[in-house]
Amino acid sequence: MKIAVIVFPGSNCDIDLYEALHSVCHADVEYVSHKEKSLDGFDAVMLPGGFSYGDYLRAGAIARFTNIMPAVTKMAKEGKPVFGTCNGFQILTEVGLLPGALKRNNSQKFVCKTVPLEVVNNQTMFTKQYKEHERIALPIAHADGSYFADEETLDRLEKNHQVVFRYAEENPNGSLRNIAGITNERGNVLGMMPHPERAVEAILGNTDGLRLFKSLLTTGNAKVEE
Amino acid sequence: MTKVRIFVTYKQSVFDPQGETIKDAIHTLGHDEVKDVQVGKFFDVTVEGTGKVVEKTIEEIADQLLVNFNMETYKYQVMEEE
Amino acid sequence: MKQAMTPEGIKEQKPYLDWSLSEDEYNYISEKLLGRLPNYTETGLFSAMWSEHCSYKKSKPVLRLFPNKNSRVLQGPGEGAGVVDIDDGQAVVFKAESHNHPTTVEPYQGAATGVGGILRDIFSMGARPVASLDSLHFGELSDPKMRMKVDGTVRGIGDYGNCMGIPTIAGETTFDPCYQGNILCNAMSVGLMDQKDIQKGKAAGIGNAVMYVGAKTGRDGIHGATFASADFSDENATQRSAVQVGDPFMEKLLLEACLEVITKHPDWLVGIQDMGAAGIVSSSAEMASEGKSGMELNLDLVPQREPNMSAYEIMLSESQERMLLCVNKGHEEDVKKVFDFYDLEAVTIGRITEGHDYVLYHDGQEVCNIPVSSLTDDVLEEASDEKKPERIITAEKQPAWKPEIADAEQTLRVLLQQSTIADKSVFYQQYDSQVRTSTVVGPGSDSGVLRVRGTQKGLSMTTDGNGRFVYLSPEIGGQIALVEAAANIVASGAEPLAITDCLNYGDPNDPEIFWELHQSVKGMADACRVFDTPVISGNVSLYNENNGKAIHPTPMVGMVGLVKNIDRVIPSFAQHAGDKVYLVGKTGDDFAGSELQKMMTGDISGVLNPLDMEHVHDYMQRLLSEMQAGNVASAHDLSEGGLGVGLAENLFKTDLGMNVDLHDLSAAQLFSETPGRFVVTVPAEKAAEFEKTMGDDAKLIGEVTNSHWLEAHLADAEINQNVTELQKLWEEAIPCQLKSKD
Repeated sequence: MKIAVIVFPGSNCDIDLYEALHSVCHADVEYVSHKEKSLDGFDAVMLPGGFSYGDYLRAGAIARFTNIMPAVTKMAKEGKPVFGTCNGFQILTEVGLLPGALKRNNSQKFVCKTVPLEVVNNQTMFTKQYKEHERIALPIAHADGSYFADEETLDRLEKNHQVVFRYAEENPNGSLRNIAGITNERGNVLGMMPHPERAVEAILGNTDGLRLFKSLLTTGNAKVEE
Repeated sequence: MTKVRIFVTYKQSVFDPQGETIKDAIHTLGHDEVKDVQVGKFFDVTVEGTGKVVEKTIEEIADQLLVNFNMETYKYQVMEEE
Repeated sequence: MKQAMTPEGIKEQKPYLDWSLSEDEYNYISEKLLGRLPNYTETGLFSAMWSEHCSYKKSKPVLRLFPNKNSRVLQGPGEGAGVVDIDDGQAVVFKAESHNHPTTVEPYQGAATGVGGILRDIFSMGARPVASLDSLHFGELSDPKMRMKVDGTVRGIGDYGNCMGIPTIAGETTFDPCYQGNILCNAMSVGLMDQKDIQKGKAAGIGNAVMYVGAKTGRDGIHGATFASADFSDENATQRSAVQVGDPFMEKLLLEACLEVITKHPDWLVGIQDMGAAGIVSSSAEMASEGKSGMELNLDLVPQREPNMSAYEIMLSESQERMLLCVNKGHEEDVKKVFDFYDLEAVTIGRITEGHDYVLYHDGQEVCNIPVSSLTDDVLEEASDEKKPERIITAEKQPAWKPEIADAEQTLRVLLQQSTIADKSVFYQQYDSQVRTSTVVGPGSDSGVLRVRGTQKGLSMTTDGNGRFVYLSPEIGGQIALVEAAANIVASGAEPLAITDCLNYGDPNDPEIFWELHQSVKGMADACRVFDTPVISGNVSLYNENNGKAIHPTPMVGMVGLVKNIDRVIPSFAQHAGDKVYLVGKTGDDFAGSELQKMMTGDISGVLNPLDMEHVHDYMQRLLSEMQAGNVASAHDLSEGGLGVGLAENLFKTDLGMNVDLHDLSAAQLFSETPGRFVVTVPAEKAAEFEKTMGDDAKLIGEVTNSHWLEAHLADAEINQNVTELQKLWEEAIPCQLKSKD
């Protein structure tokens, strides 16, 4: 599986995603500039955390207009894995590949800490190596992570098992229904505020994120059939 | 040339913690008569042309960029036309 | 462009006095350096370049006391930042800088641009910034205005560093009434690089281009350098023009573009420097001076954000996120292409010329023509009067203060809630401490530790400053600042390499304050020699006063240490029940300036006891060798609140407890702040080896238990406290004060 990590102006977790895939998982991964127009030859694409365009206007709002985004959307439509963490999640909602939006944290403050999560759906291509309802802990680091969608959308997300991760103890940002990560209906696009790429090495004190990448990498080139 | 001010706020139904915090601060100043505070942002935009053409431009940029309709809404006001 | 005043008018009306240039200096410039009257633009350039902030004219004689070389130092003071060899062809680059005045006036932007400025210093050396630290000193949180300043400062540091993607991994935050009207915001940045990429702020080679890159120039922060060199009064608290606004997104792009040119195209570049204090004039003049070159600049080519700026305004603007490059002739377009990719401006604004003159054109006219050296090297050093403060002479004659502890348990509980001691996570959780996925030890420990990707090495780093000690006994206080920093580094299992500093003092024209500066620097310098940690960079911030009242003299030490084996980083928390607990270092009656004294008497008094630095250094070296040998489970350096607080902190966030026999210490001594001590836990099977190495310098005091209780048996008291409860008091103290509605 060949994976693209998109670099937007202001991305800053691009290296973390790249290294998690390259150094730790020994995957075939390449940085791709936001100026490129094609993702031909890639089997999966990842949108890193950071502050694309300084988070000016709204987090992720400007990145959505970059050259690369139509190619990302195309991959999503083809059923190929699309993953966004933190700013990547914000971009995926702004571009409409995932429902809802990410608001400013209720505290109005940036928050960086490790929080307990529940794996709500372990049947996705991103989570199949976790147990159902498993309790894990992953770092969060964001100011705009409060997940919002209208009631109808939230009900639909739950019914379709699109809620993949939930904050398990405290809710660090005010997300509705404690949502930390969701997929699209088809299950091939995952967006989440926590940073699994920060939790893949024992030396850094946490390996709970490793199985997310391992799950995806053992999917091979399989697409989700419609 | 037309100068337009576009106001963007959360929709009524969306919790606005910043507004709540500011309302609390106002109450500590003794102004209990203040019942609600909603925080938003505005954009001053200068557009070539006047009238309907400008309105169309404003609506398009609001729809495409300035507003996230999942949680936000907007209105605008023509400040100056020349 | 017409000058705002004629040279004769300047001589008569003396506007330069408002820009902090003295009449003697003005006369010296006119008569000795130029042989004519300087025009308006030139006078402005002189006043900025001759300010203390740019020239160090007052502090230089004192700064010469610092050692700044050893076998590892590759670049000492004088460049953007210092550089130290960490083997394998790699180097660590670091520097700290104060942004006290801007932060006091406008906390959010002041702190943010403080971070931005220090980051540019690091990447101008060719290094990628990998970590940030801070040292913040505020007034008391009981003041609601101070709470807002604290909030703004913390958000400013967080927003800039978070957006840049550089983790803030360590620092310190203290509170004392002396900072009520003048807060201290010192930011430190640490970078990593290959030694082959080291850059200099140098402009040379006749015909080579001077290129301006980054953000446009506006009128922000004009005379910020001289502003930083004058003291505060409520009257000029409205000098908001001195505050610049930061754009971390622009800086992130600037960082990537500059590093791309530096590391991939070394043949294009002659030198590079940040436009910091005194903007274009200081960066260009210093680069020309370093290259022993002449320089011609056309100010009409400088990208400008506002119309109708004068030459003086363009040259002195402190707009952020700008750099100056000297580029080999013929490569201007190449450089421009790199910056174009990042949507940044890169404009050739001048050339290197024959001779040594600094010539500026604006609106087609020559507006400045003076020797480069007159701006950079000919500054008159100022001798300062010194006088030992009356308060110290009096204090030396008084008997030492001795605390009477009625209830040792209650004293411990209250100490843990003192804002300087209490948990700071409410602040540091606003900093991204993990981005770049190399943070092995983040905030809340004695020091922060990063791994160096692709090697077994690590870097340990800390900031330390204790104004109270320096206020009471400047020389010993200066020694303690260094010893404390070294203790923090050693506690993590790292070997201290070198330091940077921010020297934060009041008005040096006051002979007592200059004496404090001189004595404390002497103390620091002596300690640097003992610990072989040279000063490789730093800055001086004087005139930290509010309405005529100076802050405590507060030198901040930023130290970096080398971890040889990242798998042997020592945690600051107890690890296993059954491990032996040792107290390393002797405990004396060190209550002057302690948290205990502040808490019990509301103030600080007395003088500090002398410190045997050689002895402390010697046992720290042995402790480090035991750590490297794998014989130490945890180590925590003892500082504010002494052993009592240190033992509790060693147990927080664990499930463990401790039972310690301290029968030769009194309850008061449990809170004594004798510097250079550690509480160390050692696996039982390693105890014999540890004791053999440490000898009398480590005393076995007890054992780590499973009970989650802290039990201590003192000569005159017993402590028996539930650690969960202690931790709760410690954690809730600051959030509780911040929520206060008073």
